Amino acid sequence: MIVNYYGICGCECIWDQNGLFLAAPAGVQVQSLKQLGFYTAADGRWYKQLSPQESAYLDSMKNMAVVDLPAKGPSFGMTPNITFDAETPEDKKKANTMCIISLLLMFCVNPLIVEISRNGYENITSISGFSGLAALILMIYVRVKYPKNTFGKVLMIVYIVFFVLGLIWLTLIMAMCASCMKDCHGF
Amino acid sequence: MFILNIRKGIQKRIALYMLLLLPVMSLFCAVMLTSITSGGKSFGLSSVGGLVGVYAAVITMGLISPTRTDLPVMAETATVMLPLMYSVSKVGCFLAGCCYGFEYDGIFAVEYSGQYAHECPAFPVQAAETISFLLIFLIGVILYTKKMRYAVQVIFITSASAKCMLDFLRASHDGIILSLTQVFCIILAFIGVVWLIVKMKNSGAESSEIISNNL
Repeated sequence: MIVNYYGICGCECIWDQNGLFLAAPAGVQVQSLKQLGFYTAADGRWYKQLSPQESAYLDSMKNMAVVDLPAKGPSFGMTPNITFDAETPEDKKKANTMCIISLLLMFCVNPLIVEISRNGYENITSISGFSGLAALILMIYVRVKYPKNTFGKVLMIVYIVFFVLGLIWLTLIMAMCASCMKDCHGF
Repeated sequence: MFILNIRKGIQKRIALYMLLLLPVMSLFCAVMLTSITSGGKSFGLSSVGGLVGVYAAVITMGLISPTRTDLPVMAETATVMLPLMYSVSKVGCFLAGCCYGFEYDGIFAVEYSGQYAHECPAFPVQAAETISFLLIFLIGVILYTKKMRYAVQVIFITSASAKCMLDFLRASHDGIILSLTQVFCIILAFIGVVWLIVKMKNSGAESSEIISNNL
């Protein structure tokens, strides 16, 4: 089957045990291929693994010789619709690596610095804030650049819950302090 | 700020992440500036540090955002919102009793008990700051929504000048010519004036280009 994928005509369709892949024909602009999420393999050809929706659509068109994807596709070079596009394995790897770094910065480096600062190195307390901030920025970067990444989504929810719990804890501490101050007659 | 960003064409998700990053970064810089200026001896919240944090968040989100035009738009909306943030923060100072004014026993004088108790009543400088900045914010929003050409720069310069002037009324200002906050405010006002001049020059060049094109 030949697939015209977002204006790139003559893509070869390959059914594999890992899913459905498209192999781009030679001579297509590298920039256009990159925009559409294709990646180069060891044989020098450009491949793209299709999303489950795209695969299901092509499965239903198996008896056709040439298929346009999407059916009423935009003109050549246009970026695909985000809701139809899945993240490539390369993107997933990059996003997951950044999420792990963010997680380490927030939940390993941060408490470690706080613990070290308690043992006589008070000057480094501020670095713990830097690592927390870096973790948050990294998570936002992943959410903006790779919106489809599941790890990024989970990380965002974890940080928001963490943030809300922190606010509740702060409010409780303040209420407790106020209560203690009221009880103190010398104050 | 979220609503203003959306109205100005920023993507909803970018505006939401901005909303998540801004308070954290602002708080962090507010604490850090106090820590740095005191040589790590004390911790507290500095308004100038908070301002630095707001713009740091704007720059960070501007760099992360896929649309390059988002950065100036977010910088403008942040500038419009800054007087309101400051105004609200000073309500907290007024209620807590910190950042109090010079010794004063006239109308609206306040007397504190507890940690900030002092012998004489004080001038309610925090309340004066709240009212002043609330007015700056309201006028600024009206000018901005009516699309006055230099509204953002005017808000920026007015806020820096007002903060510099109101700092003279603080008790902590006794015996010093200029406080560190005032030095920061003068620098900020200068930056605002340069920003205004650059914008005026650019607008002038654009207008003359349009006129020559029409001719």
